[in-house]
Amino acid sequence: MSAAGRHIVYIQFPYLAAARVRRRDGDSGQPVLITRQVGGVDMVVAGCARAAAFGLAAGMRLADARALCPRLVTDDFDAASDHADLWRLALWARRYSPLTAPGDTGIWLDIAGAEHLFGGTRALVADCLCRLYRSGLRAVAATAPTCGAAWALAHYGTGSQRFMTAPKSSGDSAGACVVRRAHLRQHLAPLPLMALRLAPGVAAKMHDTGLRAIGDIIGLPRAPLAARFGTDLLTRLDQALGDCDESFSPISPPTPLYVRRQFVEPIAAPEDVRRMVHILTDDIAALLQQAGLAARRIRLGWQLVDGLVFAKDVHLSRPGRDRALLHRLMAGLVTVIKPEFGIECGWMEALECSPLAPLDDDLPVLDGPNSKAACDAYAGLVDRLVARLGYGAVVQLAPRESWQPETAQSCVLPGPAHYENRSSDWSGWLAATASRPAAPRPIRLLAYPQQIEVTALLPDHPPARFVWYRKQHKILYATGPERIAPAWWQAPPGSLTRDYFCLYDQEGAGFWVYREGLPERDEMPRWYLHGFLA
Amino acid sequence: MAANCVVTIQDQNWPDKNWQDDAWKAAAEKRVAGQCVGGNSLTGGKRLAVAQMRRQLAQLDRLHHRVRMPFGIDSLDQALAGGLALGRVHLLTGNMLCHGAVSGFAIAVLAMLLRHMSLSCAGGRAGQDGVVVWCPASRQGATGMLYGHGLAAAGLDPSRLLIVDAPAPAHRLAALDDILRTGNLAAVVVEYDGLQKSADYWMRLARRAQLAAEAGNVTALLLGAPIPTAGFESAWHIRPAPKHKKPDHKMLQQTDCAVWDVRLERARGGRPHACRLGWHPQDKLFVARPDGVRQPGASAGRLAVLL
Repeated sequence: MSAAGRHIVYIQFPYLAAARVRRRDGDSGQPVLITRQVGGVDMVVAGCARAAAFGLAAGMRLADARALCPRLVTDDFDAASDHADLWRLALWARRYSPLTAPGDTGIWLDIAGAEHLFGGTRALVADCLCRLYRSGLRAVAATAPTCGAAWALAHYGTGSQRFMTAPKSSGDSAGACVVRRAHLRQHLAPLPLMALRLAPGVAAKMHDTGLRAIGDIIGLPRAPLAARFGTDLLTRLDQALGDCDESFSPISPPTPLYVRRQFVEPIAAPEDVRRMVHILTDDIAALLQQAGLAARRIRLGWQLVDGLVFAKDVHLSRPGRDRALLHRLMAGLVTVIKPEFGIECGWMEALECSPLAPLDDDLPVLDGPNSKAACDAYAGLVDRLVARLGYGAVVQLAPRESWQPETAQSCVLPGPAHYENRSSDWSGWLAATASRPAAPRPIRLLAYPQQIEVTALLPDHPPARFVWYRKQHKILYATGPERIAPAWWQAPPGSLTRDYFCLYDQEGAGFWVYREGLPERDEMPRWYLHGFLA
Repeated sequence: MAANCVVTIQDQNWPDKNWQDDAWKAAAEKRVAGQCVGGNSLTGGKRLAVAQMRRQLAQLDRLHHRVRMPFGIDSLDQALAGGLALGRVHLLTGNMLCHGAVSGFAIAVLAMLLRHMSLSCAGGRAGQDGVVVWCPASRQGATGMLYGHGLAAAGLDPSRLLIVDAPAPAHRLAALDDILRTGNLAAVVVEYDGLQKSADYWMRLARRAQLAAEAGNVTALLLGAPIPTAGFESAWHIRPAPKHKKPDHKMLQQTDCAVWDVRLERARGGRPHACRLGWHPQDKLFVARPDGVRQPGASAGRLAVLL
């Protein structure tokens, strides 16, 4: 496409990072500043509209900003997240034009040939800004025949040269003008030299020599300019004026990993359903292979003749695309599908994908428990059990830093790291129990402590007998108490201190019980069974 | 044919009676004495015949292929014909309302098994770093969930455990075959709670699990209420040993090491036996205990006492 046919829109987001912080942490009503450490000093890089109203601007020191406005929310500058946000915005902007790309502070759109679909350039940009405003993003846009000019006007343009965010979409947005090629020089001339996307040092040097605006250098002889300030200046000027071509590389949307089969006649026979799942699995495996990806979750969906849609997920413990593995897991799903009056169509979608290099199949297979074959067999077992018993049925125990017995352990799903490196989270606890005699802990803990009826000689004595499941247990041997107070900084109000006892009944069975509430504080003590000792 | 014959003889010699039955205890003592000293409970010709049939049975059953893990207690190891057979299915039963004893004994056996594997598999054999798959009873039920801190204190590293949390015992038993055939696992534990099934069902289950365990070369333990023991490599009944001591409520002290009354009801190639076992989590060692209280000077593995 020639430069003459271009119609570039640059949409700049001055408060993008602050909006992300607000979305993540919730709006506290206070100004948000994005800071970055430069030589040991926190410098403000970006802010939000409220911060701008306080006079806080990029380039300030954070200490100065705090002097102006003591109540601030700050966050670290994160270039990767900024770029990811812009990439998603560029993807969204493909609703206006197929040619979009993320820039440094905003997104590029080439809307040449697409304006009329939205009722003209102004209506298109106004619609776009209005939608962005509704999602909480302030944006400034400018249109020009060249990329450089659009960028310059979006950042440094004045008055009618830019489109500002408007709460309502209106056909003629506040008299903003669409810059034509013929008027390009006239519009660009008053803008400062920074509008040419120059390195900061170059602009400062030119400022010292008295060159302040783009208009100052448009008529000057080119060779001395290039010799003194570098050829980059002239390239940028030519790009802005359209004398030299500049383009951006439009993004391509990620291909959805999705396969679908529509049937001429609805299918209902079990062998047909099995065949449908088989074909879809083959298709999705081939698609993943082609894309070099592996999925951790695969969703099978089907639609019945009466329009009802069903879907079922299959979870993999490690990212995988192995055809045999997928067939095995999907075979279990066939019984779940109830075709009733027939299935119109079926589809399969790969979710939670990650890149998987195809090389590790060729490595020599080691023997032993940590070999690839052993890991594969183990991961396959976890997958089959999850497919059979449901997600969350296969867990591992993990310790947590807590004195409360019920929160000192959590059940976690075995992740991909688990198979290669089964490092023990419990090594610290094991070492601690080996070195000193720890307080006794049960080997089985009830999910909910069960209240028991007890008889004790004195209020602070261990029980002499208790009744559980209508059976009376006479206590022959008891140890304790071990006092565990609730964590006052996080426990719900009304939590009481517990005294734990180990009780052994006439048959020798061990019970871990506690008394809630202290007798000396006149709290009505209640007794609970919490676990079983070996 | 040979198997039937030996079983009949065993049944005649072993009145399979109740645990508390004094007559049974006396018979057991007599039998053990006869075995140890070469006594006269059987006449010479019969004893020869029995020994020959045992040899035949062992060959039929490939008993000599078995890898065994000794408990370190002579009388028990003799009764087990050398120790706990690895790569087989064992049954541990007990009262489900004091579930801690059965779980505790299983944990002790697993801890010893892991130690045994790490010591004996210097050549990097499978199972050296294997995982223990445990299918416990529903965590919402009266048995509770396995508690990692308690397991660590009992000598079993909880990070070696993979817990399969299926609420229905039938689902757990259905998954057993698949788990056993995986290979490279250290052990598999399945709890069936108090599932009520016919003797035929349990025998078929035992046989199927046995074949799967041999295919996967993994030791399996079944935990639950007492069921018919036919078909299992060994069957144990576990009861906690009573402790007798005055309540001592003002002092937080470490409880004595766990002690169980263990009754070996059935052992393929071995014979029934009963003893009181204590467990030392630090050394991962079983000790024979005459009674339930702490014995400071007890040496490990030498004091086997028949009740």
